[in-house]
Amino acid sequence: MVTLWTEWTYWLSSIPRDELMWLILPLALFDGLRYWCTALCVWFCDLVSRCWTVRNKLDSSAMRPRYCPSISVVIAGLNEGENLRGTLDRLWGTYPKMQLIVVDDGSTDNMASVARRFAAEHRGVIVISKRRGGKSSAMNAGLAYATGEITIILDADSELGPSALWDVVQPMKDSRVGAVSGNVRVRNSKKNLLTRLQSFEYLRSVFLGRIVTARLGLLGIVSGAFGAFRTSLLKEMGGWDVGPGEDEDMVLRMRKAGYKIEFVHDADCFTDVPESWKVLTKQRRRWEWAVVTFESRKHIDMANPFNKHFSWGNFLLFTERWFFNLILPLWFWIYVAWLVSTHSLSQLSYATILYYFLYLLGDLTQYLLILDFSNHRRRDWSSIFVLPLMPFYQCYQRVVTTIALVEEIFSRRSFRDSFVPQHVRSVTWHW
Amino acid sequence: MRLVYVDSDAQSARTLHSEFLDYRGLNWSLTHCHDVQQALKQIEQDNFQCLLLRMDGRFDEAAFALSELVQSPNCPPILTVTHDLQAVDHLQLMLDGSDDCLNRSETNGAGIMRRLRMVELRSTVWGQQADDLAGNEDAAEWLAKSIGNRGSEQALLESTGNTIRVAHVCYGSTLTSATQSPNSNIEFTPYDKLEELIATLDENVRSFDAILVEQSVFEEASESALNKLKRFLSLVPAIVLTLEKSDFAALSYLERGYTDCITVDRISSTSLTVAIRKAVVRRRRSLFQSLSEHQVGPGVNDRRASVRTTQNRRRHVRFFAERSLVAIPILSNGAPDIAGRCQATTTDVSLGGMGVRIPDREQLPSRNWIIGIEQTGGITGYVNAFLRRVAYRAGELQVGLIFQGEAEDMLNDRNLWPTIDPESKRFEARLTNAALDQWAELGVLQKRLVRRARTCPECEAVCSVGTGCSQCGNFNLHYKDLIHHFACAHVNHAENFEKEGAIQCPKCLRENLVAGADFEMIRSQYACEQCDYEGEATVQVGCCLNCQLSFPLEMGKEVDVYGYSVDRMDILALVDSAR
Repeated sequence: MVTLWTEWTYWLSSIPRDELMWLILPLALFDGLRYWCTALCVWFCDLVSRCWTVRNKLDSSAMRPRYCPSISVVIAGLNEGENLRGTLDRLWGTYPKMQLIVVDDGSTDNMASVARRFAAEHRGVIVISKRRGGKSSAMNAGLAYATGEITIILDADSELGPSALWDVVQPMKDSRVGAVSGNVRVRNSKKNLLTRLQSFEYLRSVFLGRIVTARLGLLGIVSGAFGAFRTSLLKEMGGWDVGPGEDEDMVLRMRKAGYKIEFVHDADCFTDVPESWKVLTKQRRRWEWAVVTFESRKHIDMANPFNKHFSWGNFLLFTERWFFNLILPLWFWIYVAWLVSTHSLSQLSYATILYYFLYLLGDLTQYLLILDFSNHRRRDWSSIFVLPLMPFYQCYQRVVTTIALVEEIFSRRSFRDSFVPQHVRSVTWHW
Repeated sequence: MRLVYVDSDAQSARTLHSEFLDYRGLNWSLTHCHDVQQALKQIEQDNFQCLLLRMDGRFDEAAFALSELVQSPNCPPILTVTHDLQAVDHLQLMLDGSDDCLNRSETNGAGIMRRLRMVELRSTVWGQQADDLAGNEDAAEWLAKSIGNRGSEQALLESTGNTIRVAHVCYGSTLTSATQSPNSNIEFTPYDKLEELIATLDENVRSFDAILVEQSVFEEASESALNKLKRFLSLVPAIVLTLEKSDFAALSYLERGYTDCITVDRISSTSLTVAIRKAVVRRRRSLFQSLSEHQVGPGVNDRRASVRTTQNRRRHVRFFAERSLVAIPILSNGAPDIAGRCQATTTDVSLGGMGVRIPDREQLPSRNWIIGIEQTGGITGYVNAFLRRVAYRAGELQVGLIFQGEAEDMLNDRNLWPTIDPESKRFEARLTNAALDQWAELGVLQKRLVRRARTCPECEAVCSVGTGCSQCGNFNLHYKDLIHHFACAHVNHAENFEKEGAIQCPKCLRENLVAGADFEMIRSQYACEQCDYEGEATVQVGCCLNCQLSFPLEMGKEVDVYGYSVDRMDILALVDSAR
């Protein structure tokens, strides 16, 4: 081990500077630019801002949410009978003007009966049972009965923080805001190693990533697990389109209409993540398809300077998405091929160790930033133990991303996915 | 007029009493007795002009009650009021001792009172004639002819029996159409002149079984002719057809010795036929009572007995058998008389009944019994039997039992199995659960839970169940259908998809959508037309069929409904084993 370390340090000191740059540059482009730099910049700005407004922050009354619009919480699910009752029980009574709509999208378990039983015990709860038509249709069915000013989408297997509903509606006070994303955290993080890895991934990409993109005005997604939408706007737009990726699609349509999208990192929503690699892979492929389907095909007009929907914010958003989610993942394998073809096996080994430490350093940096922003430091502290494994997990993600992109680019795989039932996907538009 | 009224139903007695109050022109007093035994005591203690026997039950019960009453030497003439018996049954009851019979449904209190007066008057007049008849050979001759030619009383009762000959005296009147009754064994012989009939009767008093005289005869005939006819009235029954409607006219003819009088409003072929048969029966019975035994002939008592029991003659062959049995009396409320339970032995069995010997008993507490006999396989089979006759001989009771018909059988399913009572709308058997439970404790019945019903929480009546509003329970719900357009996932109320008679998606503007292929209906929410509540979760609402109370079904009272079954006695096997 000591010998290996000695050899590696020797290799690192002996490598020419330009060659070292070629080795580090991809990393800097991939994750350095996207997370490290921007996150550090935002943190620094935030630090200055916090120091400036420290007096106001000490005034507790200023922290209390004041805006209290009526809300309609739509819980759409499939076979969620096991989790639904707990979710409803925890949700009931946490907000004064709340309408609760449960949509059973053709469940084969007892979801509908659980919802009906709850509705019988609580006035103001609407239950809709329908044939399976996909999550979009389920949410739209709920939207048809939504009477609140704000419609909140919540997964049946999610658990909200104590003030999450209050927090998530506050940005809606600004009429230019069309949707607000809540902060999705992992509830079953202690289940196994995979969920622990995902827990840190959520902290990095959802929590920290959306703080940064929201500050930059580039937030292009509101989680389907927990998000708030302006009801009038939703109805005006006819609700969600057919998925998968309907949450991202809706946000892009709102941005196209000129509305702002906000993120509230205090509005916590704890949800269960996949506990097996197979399910996780399927989920991630579905997420990656959306980049091609919506940002490269359906809403490509948003980045066209000659189109009426063009704006520089949208252009930057698309550029960021295309660059980091489409071009670089594909380019990464070209770079790997170049490395393999031009370097010896020992050099590749030393380069891999270099990458590992650089990624570790990057993750550690982000981790510290997360702890600074977080309201659940004690809970998030435990994620430090999976940091040494995160570089490997990112390699897995890169592979999945590449597969998903190839699938969607060349075969429109998303429209054959069982996420949407056959009778719907056979008649919908294939972008 | 002093009346004894026998009726077990107090409410019915009160009703009749109030109807009697409407009858004017007669001073009367009514003594109500609940049963025959009480009536017999009253008769012994006091003198009454008439006895009114009300029998709502079956024919056998009426006959039995009559047989008990007529055995009393002080028994006044009896008018029997039945529930719904045929004319033939009425005639049989008259043979058994009743002076007249009628159904309660055919008349009101005034009609009953009128018949009572006729019964009482007829009894008085015929009582005066009895002394004259004591040595009258003509009367004996008429009676002998009447009984001998018929062979039995059956001819009187049935229209297919031997011919009843009736002399019909009519002076050009218009009432003769009533005598043209088809399907009758009554033969009418018309006479234009009363003298001709008198001449015929003088020649042979046995020529006719009855005389039918129309009112016109009395208007035109001479007094001497009438006096001549009066001679025969104590021998041959005579009926007057009058054009008057007054009761007094009818009563006046009865005072003259006529057997019956039919006023113009009651004349019909049916009433005439019945009246003739009744008149013959009355006259024959009065002659039996008035004439001495040597005049009537030997065996008059047997004939009397045979007359009384013809209807009830055994129809089934008896077989001697000695089987031990258990006999349990049934109380009036349907419960077993446990104290009266006794062991007994059969003497003979038939398909219709059985003879039973009960040792160490002098009297029986009830006439209705459950008889249990151990059958093949060790199972005791039970049957409901009715006490027909009883005799105390040699220190034991000898009892004749007949098996109850299906309608009266206490072990009938309708008595044991709970059904919904039409009035109370509750699950009830005809017998009370308390009574049936006692039978089950004795081992006669087996009790089991047959259903568990949700009933009205207020009155326990059964309820109809429907889907109703979860807030107010109203059944009148209006559903708001949604349409889900597959292509764009748009979901909206159906009316928003309608455009100029076609289906068009308001979101993507696709036209001419095809149900099933392009869109589907989602029925989920309803709007209550009573409370305007909108929701998806309807509730099961019960509506009481009795008190109309609406209530959530889960609030309904859960009632256990029990049914009872019995191991029935295999009578055929019992008879076969004795054969």
